[in-house]
Amino acid sequence: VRLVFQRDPVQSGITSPQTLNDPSIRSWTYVENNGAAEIDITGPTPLLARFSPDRKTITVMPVTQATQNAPLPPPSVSPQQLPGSVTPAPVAGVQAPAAPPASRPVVILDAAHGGQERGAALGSWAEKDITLAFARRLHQQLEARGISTSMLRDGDNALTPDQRAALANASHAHIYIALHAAAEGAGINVYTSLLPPTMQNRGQFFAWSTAQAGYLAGSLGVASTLASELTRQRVGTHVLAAPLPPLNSIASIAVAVELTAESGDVRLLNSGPYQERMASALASAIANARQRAGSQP
Amino acid sequence: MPRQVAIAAAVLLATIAVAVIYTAGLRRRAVQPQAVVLQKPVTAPVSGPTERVTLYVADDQIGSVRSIYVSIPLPTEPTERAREILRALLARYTDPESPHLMAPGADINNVFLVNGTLAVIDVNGAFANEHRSGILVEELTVVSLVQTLAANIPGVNRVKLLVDGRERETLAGHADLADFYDVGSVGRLVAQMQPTTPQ
Repeated sequence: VRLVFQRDPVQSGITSPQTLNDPSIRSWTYVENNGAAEIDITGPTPLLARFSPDRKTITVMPVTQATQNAPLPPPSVSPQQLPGSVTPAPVAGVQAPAAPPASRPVVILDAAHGGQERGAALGSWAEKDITLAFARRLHQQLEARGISTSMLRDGDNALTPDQRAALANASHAHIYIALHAAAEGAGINVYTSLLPPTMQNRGQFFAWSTAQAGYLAGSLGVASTLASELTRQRVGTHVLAAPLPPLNSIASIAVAVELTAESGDVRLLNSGPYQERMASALASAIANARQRAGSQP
Repeated sequence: MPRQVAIAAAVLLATIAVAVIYTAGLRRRAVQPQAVVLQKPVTAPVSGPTERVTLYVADDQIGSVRSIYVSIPLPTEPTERAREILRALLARYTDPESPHLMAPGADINNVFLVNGTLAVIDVNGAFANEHRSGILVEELTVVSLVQTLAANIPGVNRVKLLVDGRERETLAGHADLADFYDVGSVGRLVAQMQPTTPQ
């Protein structure tokens, strides 16, 4: 049986076939393919997958056993798709690697907004342009410090929060950093997910909307380190939780960084020297946070 | 003409002159009536006993949410009570002197209470479409709404926001409106957002 899920890839790094001591199901594998999650379940006899009425549980059983039970068709899956695959349309525009890349980046930068989604109006500039320019400077600063970095968007293209999360998760970067800009503030604000701290991921697969739960402690630690390093470099900063998509769906350490104008002069946000100074301070803070975390992903 | 009559006539003329000058002054100061576009939604007056409620009021400058007490007339029906409480909060935000300014036409269409634990706040288009964009300003709006509702409607533990009855991804590009807000998480956030200096 092959099950294909669109809203992946959120999992804990299963790369080899998983063997089960079950007479009906011998093993299963998990791969990421073009932004979707594929689970292949292998057994000695043909298998059938069934949804529960609430669509939260999928039961896999031998076809012979299934036909003895009362039929329970899935709510939205056509019969032709069973017992083969449940294949929703792939996420448009998302090109995720089939497997974790050999050299995964330490940091993935996500310049917020883009395309028709302009973000806040900051003087005569759009937030989407300032975040992209700042992301490029930060990318250079991080690479100069030996920190492997990739950018989630490097042009004026629009991505939905789900697409951003899918790309970030597929990159398997250690730290995801969303970049925003705002008129109000006094330097660089740092935000983490608003998920309850007690929430935990259970099992090897994470719920899409709460994938960050298992990484929240790490995210809070990095946010705190960034803030203290920025303060040490005399950059005004503030750390807060925020209901900001797609932080909740990121399966790695994840923070959002908001560039603001120190003196309240919004023209600073598009100033090259100001952006360079802030990018340098932030890159140093990220390098220190990375150093403190040591080998911890 | 007798002297007394002349004096009376002079006093009368002086009084009339003063009255004319005063009236002309009033006319000059009077605002000419103009065609005014009424941006405030017209709502029926609220009837009911005056009660004390807690509002969580945002301040952009210091990024804080602080609690205040106000007394407002409240209806007895729970959903109408909830709506009037949130309208009292919005009345502060639509005041031109507000430290967390919102569009004059921003309003609460309805509040629905589901099983006593879920509150659905339906705001109007002006509330969302004219909201300023930014992580903090949007967060302050959402947090103050959720916390105000939770503080005055016991039992509510989740809150969902709709715009004109429809789901929306974000308020103005940042604050999530697609998901439900957990009242406990918002409460912890509000605790972090308390002003450091007495207001």
